[in-house]
Amino acid sequence: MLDYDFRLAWHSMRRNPVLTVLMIAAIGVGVGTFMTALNVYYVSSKNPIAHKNDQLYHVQLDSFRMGSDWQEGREPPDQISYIDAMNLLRDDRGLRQSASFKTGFGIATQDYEGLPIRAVGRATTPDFFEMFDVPFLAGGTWQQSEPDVAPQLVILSRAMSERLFGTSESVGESVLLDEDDYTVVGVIEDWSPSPKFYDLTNGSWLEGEDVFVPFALTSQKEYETWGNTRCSGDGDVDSFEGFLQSSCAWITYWVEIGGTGDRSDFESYLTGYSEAQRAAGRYEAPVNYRFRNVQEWLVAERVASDSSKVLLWLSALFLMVCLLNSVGLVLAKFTARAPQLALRRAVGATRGALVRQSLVEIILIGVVGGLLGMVLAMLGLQGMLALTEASNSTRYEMDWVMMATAIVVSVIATTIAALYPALRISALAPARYLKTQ
Amino acid sequence: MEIRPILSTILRNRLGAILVATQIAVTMAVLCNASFLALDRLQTMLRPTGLDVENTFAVDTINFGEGFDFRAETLLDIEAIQALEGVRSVTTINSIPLSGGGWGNGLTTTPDQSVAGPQGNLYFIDTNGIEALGVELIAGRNFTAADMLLREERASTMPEVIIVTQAMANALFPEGDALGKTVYSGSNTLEIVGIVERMFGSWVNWEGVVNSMLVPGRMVDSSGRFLVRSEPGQRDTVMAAVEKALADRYPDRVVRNVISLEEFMADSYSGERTAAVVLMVIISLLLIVTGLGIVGLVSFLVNQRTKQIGTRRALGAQRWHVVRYFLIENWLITSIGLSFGLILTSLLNYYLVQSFELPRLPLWYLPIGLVAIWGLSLLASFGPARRAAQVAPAVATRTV
Repeated sequence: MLDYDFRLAWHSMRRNPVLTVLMIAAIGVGVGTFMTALNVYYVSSKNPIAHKNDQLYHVQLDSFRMGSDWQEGREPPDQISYIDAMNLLRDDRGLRQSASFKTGFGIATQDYEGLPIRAVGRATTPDFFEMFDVPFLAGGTWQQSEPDVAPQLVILSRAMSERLFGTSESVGESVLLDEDDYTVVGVIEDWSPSPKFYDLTNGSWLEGEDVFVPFALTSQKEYETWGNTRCSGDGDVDSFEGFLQSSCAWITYWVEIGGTGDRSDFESYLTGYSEAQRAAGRYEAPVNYRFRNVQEWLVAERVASDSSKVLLWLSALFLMVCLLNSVGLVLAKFTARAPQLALRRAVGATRGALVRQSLVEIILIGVVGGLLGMVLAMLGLQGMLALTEASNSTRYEMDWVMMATAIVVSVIATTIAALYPALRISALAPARYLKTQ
Repeated sequence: MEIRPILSTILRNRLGAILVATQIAVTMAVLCNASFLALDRLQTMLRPTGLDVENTFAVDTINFGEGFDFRAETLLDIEAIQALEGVRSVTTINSIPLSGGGWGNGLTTTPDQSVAGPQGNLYFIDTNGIEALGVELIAGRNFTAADMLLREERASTMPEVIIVTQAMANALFPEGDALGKTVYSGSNTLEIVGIVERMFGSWVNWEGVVNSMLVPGRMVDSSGRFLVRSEPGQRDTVMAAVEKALADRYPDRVVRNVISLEEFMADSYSGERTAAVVLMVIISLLLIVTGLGIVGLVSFLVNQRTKQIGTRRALGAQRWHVVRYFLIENWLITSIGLSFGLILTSLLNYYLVQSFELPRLPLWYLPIGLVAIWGLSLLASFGPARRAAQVAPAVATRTV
């Protein structure tokens, strides 16, 4: 029976080839555009560490002066000062914590010929790797018991290790960072979460780092920050030590706690800490901090750009236009087919059979249109890639689950929209149409 | 006119008319809002920067070796660059306008730093800086060699003079008498000795992008950064020549980031460009789909009514009567759709303004949208309507 419906549908589609092509093209273009926009939005709003969303929290403290433009509850700086980072590390609340900042070195080996390689790095506490699920290929992180004492060890990315030593097995080798001798303690698999949730302040879509050094050595080695620094009045200092003691915010601070249950504990600790700092005269503003999990932090930093949301909305409306367009054409076709349907009714076809025949045709069109839309979406994503290639921008990729969902949605949408015309046509009294023939 | 019979045809096929009218309404809403947003992005990208974007580029050096003498080597670098053919001017600079990387700095008109002043980007340049940037000095004087400050690493001293853009001058001194006034930055005191007409800072999407500040000085460091302006049209050859000259002159260095302002600017605006292109693609597809949809529908109606058209022709209707009939029918449905479209356009814009802090749609977009869609619908229905007029009166007498 279904086989017969398919043959009838095929026949009807071939009788009006231009109309059929128009309908399929409209659905295809609409679905393609919408899926492109959806993929772009999906990629830009992805949480790369969703499974630890309720364990990882980003800390912001308001160490800034009040100034004349102070407002209650203003957004504290994205990062915290060195003193605050050291204080929190010493207090050692929560399961793990990472204080880190973007830095960089001229990197070379003892017998390396030529000029050092410029490498982007990160000074960080050892918990960083465990907290953010950084995969180790060899070795591991360094051990330290005091926040400001650490051995002169370094962790390399696989790419950097292969570039310097020709292999990822470089644990125990020695490397020169800005002409200073470090020993490799671990090599990580190239790791580049997108968006770069652990440091959104310096570009949300940048590649991961190649060199990791102990944060504890910051003061001794005078690591320069290659990231953002925000100061409030006392940033004009003449020495590195002065910079460390200032209220300048340049360190990204994350805490891992057991789960949402421990959240209020940590928040009350931050309240107490802020009050103590205020009493000591370091903070001016009333207690004001932010303690956000990964998702909240991504939202606060507006990683999913408004632009991609607006495009998603407009392309959804465009898809609606395309569907309306197709349904309008389907309706016209069905109306024209009334005499034929009337004849089938007269020779004994049930109403259900007629509705089914019409629906098979529209579903066929929906499926073919959806498939065309998938192809167009792939082209669309290639186009988006080409448009943003020049810059360090979002990396778009196809999500097949979403693609399949979108096709199903397009078929369901066309079917629902065509249901009324199909029912109406099949309900017409056969006699009226038979008479005219 | 045959408005009444046309209306009754439309009413007989109400569902079809509603579908087309809804499609027209949504088309109108998307067309107006999307073209407004696209134009808004394009306007942002086309703002004049005040800089000679086409002929200027930046270059960095990283210098190794213990004995690197910044002062002497920098002067030698400048000399080497200036000696190249096609170089118009060169300056040292701390960060590159339009590049996305820069120094934010605030100025105040009183020593009291608790009062916030206007913020902008601060650039350390040398006496050739104004010329190399291509900005126009409209009041006051350029920097002289005596103004230059060599700032040691980690020092926070500032030169004693500053040149600001007109926008920054107006923000500081709304009465327009900024020239010669004293301004404060942290614990430093500076005198405004010059005003440039216009110069974009580093972050193109920042409101402070017009508040650029120029001071005479260099920071002593192991790395160097230059901004070079070539004679018109010679930028690419000069870029290669400068890269080679700097590398040859001091072997123990890496010369990198030889990047034109044009490229920096294209990168900075990549979000705007992407959005504008995508919006324009959506608009074009929308017009094509809606247009073809109308063509398909009217063709279909024409085929449906071949007999009726033949009958009308046989009863004496002229060809243009038939054309007019289909045009008016389509025009009526389109107009009904457009009247809902006006409401839908405003609602969509209201939503976008509320949710995304986008600018409000200017009212004049509505009549333009109306006329555009009327035109599209007339154009789309004209072909099929003309074919309808070709139906011979004899068709009426035949039975299928």
